[in-house]
Amino acid sequence: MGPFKTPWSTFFAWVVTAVSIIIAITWAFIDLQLSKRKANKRENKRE
Amino acid sequence: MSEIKIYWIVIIFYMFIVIGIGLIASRRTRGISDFYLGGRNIGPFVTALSFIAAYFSSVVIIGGGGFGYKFGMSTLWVGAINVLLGCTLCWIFLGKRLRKYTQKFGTMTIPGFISERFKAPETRFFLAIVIFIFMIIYNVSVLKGMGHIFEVLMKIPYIYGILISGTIIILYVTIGGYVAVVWTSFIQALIMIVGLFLLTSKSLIAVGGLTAVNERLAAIDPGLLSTPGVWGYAGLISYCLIVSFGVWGMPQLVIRFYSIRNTAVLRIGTIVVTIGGCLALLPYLNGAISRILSPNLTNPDLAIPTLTKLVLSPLGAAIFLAAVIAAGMSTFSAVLIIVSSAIVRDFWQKGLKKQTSEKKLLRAGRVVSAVAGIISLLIAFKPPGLVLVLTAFSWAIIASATLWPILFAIYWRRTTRWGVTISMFAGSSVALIWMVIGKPFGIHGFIPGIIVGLILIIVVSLLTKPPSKEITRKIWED
Repeated sequence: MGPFKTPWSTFFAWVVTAVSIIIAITWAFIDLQLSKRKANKRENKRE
Repeated sequence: MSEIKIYWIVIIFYMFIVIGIGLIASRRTRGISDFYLGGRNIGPFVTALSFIAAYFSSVVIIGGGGFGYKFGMSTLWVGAINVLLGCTLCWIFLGKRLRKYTQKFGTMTIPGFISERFKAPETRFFLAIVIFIFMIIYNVSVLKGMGHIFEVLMKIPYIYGILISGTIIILYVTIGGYVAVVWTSFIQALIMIVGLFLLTSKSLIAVGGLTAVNERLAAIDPGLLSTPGVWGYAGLISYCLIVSFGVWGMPQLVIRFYSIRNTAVLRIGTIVVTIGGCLALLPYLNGAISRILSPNLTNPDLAIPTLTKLVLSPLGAAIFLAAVIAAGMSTFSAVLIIVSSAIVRDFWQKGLKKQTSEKKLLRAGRVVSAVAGIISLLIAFKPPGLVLVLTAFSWAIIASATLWPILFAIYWRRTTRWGVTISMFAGSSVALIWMVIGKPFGIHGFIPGIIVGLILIIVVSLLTKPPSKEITRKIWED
């Protein structure tokens, strides 16, 4: 049994929901860094 | 003040807000691009929350509660997969590329993008017809849901319920177009979030917390607590796939990626849509709680209305009623815009190559939105048996036709015109036939539809002449 007397098989639905939020934040961060790197490369090329 | 009076005051106040938004939005609608895409200038919060409002209709709130009542806590998985697959991964995999490529091709609609991307005019006609027929049928189910909510909670006849909600939606969509749809959906999403959190918190307090919910459900039937429990894996997994992966092909949702301001704001949008999407779990949880508080309901669809009356004050119930109506209205309005764009932009202007002024196009867009809404209303007055059967799988047919063409258009450069055409025709036909012959093996038509579509898009593309360099260069080069 997991927290709140929930069977683990059901409790993992809450875990998947939390993981979705983590995925969204991580993807947004990585995408931002990649865009910055791309913009820098373009800038260097122009110079 | 009587309960019904409070309901009316909240609902009338809410209706005035959405009509006001329609009037303000009409000032920003000058051309056909504004009417269908809001000039491609919608911010991340409005885009993300309007996506949620269009995704989770009143059918999800009432029907999801019914599932929770019948199958218990395992239905939380439906909400969790909605968040992961239907919100987060959908935005990550489709958002950026669709925004970029649809602008490159200058297209405003899903049929338009697929047709231009593959130089396949037949797909434009085919999808326009599929969208017109099955989206209207889908809208009938949404209207029906709203009519029953008015009937149960406000004690007004079904016909008046759909007339009130349908007329208001047709009015604001016709005058305000896409901008009105996304802004009203934004407000509607906020009302849905408040309403669902209010109901959940009050229900949990009434039962004595989450631990008590689990203990009492296990006492009724241990199968109501575990996964897959009384539902079984086949039912649970296929349902999760339809209502989560199917979203990737639903035009009224995917169109949000066309209209967002730029690809940079998609990052914030993805976080907002994921957090907001978590409300998807609440109808199922409330349905399970309703099983504890009212164990003898004959119709599981009454789980949420009954729970509302049990745990909320008249004002709280009125706010929740507004949330359910908001969920239905946002979905209905989003579909109206899509039907209108399929007929005016894809079928009439681009398909039949009618040269006409921007002003006339805008007028045509408004007229078709109104006509599509009125047709849905007329059918919803007394839906024939066939329509009732079709509503159950209209979503599956549209998604079977559009899902793979959209994904392959933005990810696989070897995809060909005939691969896409045959895949969308065969996929949607298989889904339709599968459902008509009575869902063999208990599998929903969406599953064979997408399997056939996937095999055909790959095989036919590999067997036919690769697309020209001009096409691949246009889409793949920065």
